[in-house]
Amino acid sequence: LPSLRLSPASLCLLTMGVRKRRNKKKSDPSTKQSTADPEAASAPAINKTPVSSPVKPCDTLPSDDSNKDLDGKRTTRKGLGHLLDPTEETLIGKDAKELMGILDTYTTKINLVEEQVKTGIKQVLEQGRDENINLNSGISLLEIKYQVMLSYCVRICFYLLNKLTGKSIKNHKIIDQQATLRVVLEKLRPINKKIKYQVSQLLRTATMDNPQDGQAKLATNPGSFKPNPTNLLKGSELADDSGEGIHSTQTETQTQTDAIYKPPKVIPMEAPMDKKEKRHMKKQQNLIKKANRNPLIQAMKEELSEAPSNITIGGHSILNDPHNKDREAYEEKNFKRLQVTKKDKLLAKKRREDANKGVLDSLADLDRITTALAKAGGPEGKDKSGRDDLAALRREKAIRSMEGAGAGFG
Amino acid sequence: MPRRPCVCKFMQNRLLNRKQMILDVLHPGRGPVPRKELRDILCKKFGVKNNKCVFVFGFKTAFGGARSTGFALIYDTLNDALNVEPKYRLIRNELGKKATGSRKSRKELKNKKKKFRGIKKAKVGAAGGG
Repeated sequence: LPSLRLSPASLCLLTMGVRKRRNKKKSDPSTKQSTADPEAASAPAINKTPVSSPVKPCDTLPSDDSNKDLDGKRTTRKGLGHLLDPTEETLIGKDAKELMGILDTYTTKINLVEEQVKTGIKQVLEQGRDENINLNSGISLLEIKYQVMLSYCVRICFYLLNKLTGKSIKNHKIIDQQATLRVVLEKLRPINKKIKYQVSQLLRTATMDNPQDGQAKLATNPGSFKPNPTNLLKGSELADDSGEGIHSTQTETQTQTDAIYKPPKVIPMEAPMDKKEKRHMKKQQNLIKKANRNPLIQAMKEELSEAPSNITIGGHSILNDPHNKDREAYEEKNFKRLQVTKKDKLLAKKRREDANKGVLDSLADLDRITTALAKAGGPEGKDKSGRDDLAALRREKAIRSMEGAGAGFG
Repeated sequence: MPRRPCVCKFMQNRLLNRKQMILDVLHPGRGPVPRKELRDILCKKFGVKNNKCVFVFGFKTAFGGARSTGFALIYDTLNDALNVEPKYRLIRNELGKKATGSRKSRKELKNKKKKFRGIKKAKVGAAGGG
């Protein structure tokens, strides 16, 4: 971290502005007791800030709040640590203004979030007190989700606090914790998507008029929550009508008891392929593999690609030669060098020659390869190219015969 | 003369009382490093008192030059080295003596010795050597 020596003016500006904003944040009715001490502390603190000692600047500022979700998730960070110009003061002054602006928006957003959270919590608490809800048998995924989010937000606040007070957070364990939490959140996202439908259905049954039917639905047939395409066709009115859902399940439950057990098809899956399709797909894949192995194609690829090229002989790279791997492993393990026998030398020579055999030797090879490729994966289809060639040949024959006839005459 | 040996796959072999490792030496701009130099470097690195306990062998230069890979063994004591190491490596480290005379002469001497028993063998050796 580069340590800057700020002039007293800019230092005061920064610290004053920062402390002012911090006090403003804490001026909510709930936390008014705590404001007394910081306010008292801030006034002498400004005088106390030593001018001679260098202030370590934050290498990251709190991000532009437009990028923040309302539940406090951080998405981008900006860097500031490379200010080493001689015009430090002017630059810091500019950035200080930016900082003030950002902090303003931050406080307003935090107030918004606080209001929302408070109303939400109020609602939940009321409901909980009325009905004595037991949260143990809920969907554990959702519980994990909100716990993780909460801890993430708390750690963000801690991080911000450290940055605002100028403490370094270099090797703090909080960074690791934050990273793991973030990873967990990311992993929860696809799972969330998968169970979204089920959760919405559950909520619907929970808020239904006749709860007994809902319970019955849950107990007997978990497959009743499978995706229902008729909802798409008939429109949103019928989809919201809970009676429709119940009727469908009643018939289903009857059939379910009679018939064999079939696992509930809740998650969308691809239909299984029949033999013909499978065969066709495998054939295509094999042809593509063969074409890729062809040295002419590889040469073309290398020409056109911008990736760093690997020195190869006939498709096998020299550096990571698979034939040498076993020998090298043995040598390293047993600490002795093996002799390259005559047999090995002959084999290596043969391999090299075989590799170079496939390369283009004549125009006939090129013709053969291109026709093979065309048959393998033409954009139109399978044998259309063959038909075209035949037609072309026929045309040529006709022309030649005509010419010959003409020559004969003329 | 920049050369940097990099120690890979280091292992303490307690059965044979030695440290064994693979040496990866970088020597751009010059040929492969002589074994004696590498021996001295290893002595310094591992704090070995007797540089004759360090055996360096099997160096192969990678294609294109500037890098060679080989093996190195560092024995705890000289006795261990004398007991374990093969003769040719001891000779390289000046711990052994190469047999004098041609192969044929050695075999002839051996066959002569077969005719005698005990102390007389030594006499034959002295006479035959001359």
